[in-house]
Amino acid sequence: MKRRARERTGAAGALIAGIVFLAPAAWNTAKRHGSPTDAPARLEDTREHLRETELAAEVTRLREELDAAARMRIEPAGIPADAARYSAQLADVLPFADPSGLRSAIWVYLPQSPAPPEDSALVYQRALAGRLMRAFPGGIAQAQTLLDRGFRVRYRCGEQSGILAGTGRRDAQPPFLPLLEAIHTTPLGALAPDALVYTSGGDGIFPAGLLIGRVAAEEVEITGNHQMVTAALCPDDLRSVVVVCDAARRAFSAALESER
Amino acid sequence: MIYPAAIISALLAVLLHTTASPLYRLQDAAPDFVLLVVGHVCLFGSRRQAMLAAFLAGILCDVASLDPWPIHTARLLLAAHFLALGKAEGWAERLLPRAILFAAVAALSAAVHASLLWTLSDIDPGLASLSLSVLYTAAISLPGWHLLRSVAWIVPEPSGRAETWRL
Repeated sequence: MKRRARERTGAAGALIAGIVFLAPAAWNTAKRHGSPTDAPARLEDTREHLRETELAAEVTRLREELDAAARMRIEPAGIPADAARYSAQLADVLPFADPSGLRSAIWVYLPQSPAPPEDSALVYQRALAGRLMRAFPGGIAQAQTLLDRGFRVRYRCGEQSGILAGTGRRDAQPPFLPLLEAIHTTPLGALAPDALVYTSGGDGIFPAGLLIGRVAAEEVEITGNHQMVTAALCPDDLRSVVVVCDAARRAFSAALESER
Repeated sequence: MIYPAAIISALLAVLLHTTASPLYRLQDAAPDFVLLVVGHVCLFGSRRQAMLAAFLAGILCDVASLDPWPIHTARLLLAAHFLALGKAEGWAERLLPRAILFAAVAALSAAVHASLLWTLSDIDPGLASLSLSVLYTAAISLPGWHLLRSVAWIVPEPSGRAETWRL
């Protein structure tokens, strides 16, 4: 009798545990894919997926644009003037996340070698997706997303510029895009709502002219006196990205390694 | 003696956490599966097994995380230590004390994580997401314990170790 009662208790416990464990995952899956009434949004997702197949062509186009932008600047020492300053590599996003619940990172697989240096930019369809933090042997690398609290990028929005900082928070509306906080804005003044925000290139990490996002409407919660910017990309939806390598940075890393 | 169960638990915990936690993320918070598994190793096994699992899982988390070293090793070792203390005091034997023990250890782990993160990298962890993570980990730990307990009942117990496995 005791054994049967224990069996029943165990089965009930396992059932309740299964429900509690599966409920959040089911809720998140439903939230991500939407209800049947979200058909237009899902159609847009399908189109987005189809556009991914054009990514290889996008790599070439992006490289040409970045090279054209780089020619307008002073070329760094050690890089021949006619050499392409930027190179691009396709990378697949792996289904791993950061073990820390307070950080946001994606893992990517880079089939080509050599691996790009640290601090290379991750780009998807001319929008900024993150920053390469560490490369491991075997072509695996870890990248910080715009959702991470430690993410920083210099931005330009019309005549104004400054620094955007990751907040770890998302927009309340689907597709739950990351929110970034605009700090050190110069000249002082509020950014125009809905204005597009681009990388300025002033941080020496990200190439200039990549789309970061859009200035959030006023009703989005503002912390302190800082304005929020809604990112253009959601890190959860990325399946492949382009890693943009700066040859100047690679030369700099090689020089540092040789000094060690 | 090597503790294969503790080592395998630590490896599986990190793998589970890096793959599953985005699915379970609500608002800004995610449950701490690694802490959960370390807690279960502590409750089902010995203190040394729990400390070994916490150390291995902490090292793996530190390698794989953007957080500065050694945040995860420190917080998981502390958590395993306090869980073992609670178990020795008999707090793991009844439902309510066990729930209080899990919640307290989850809160301690989150506090250590937040303070070290703030100190070492100047990143504001955010009080709201921290509290939510603590609640979430504490809430998910008890059903998880019952799930593992039912599995441990199905799996044949090692001879002479029944009292260790059947808390």
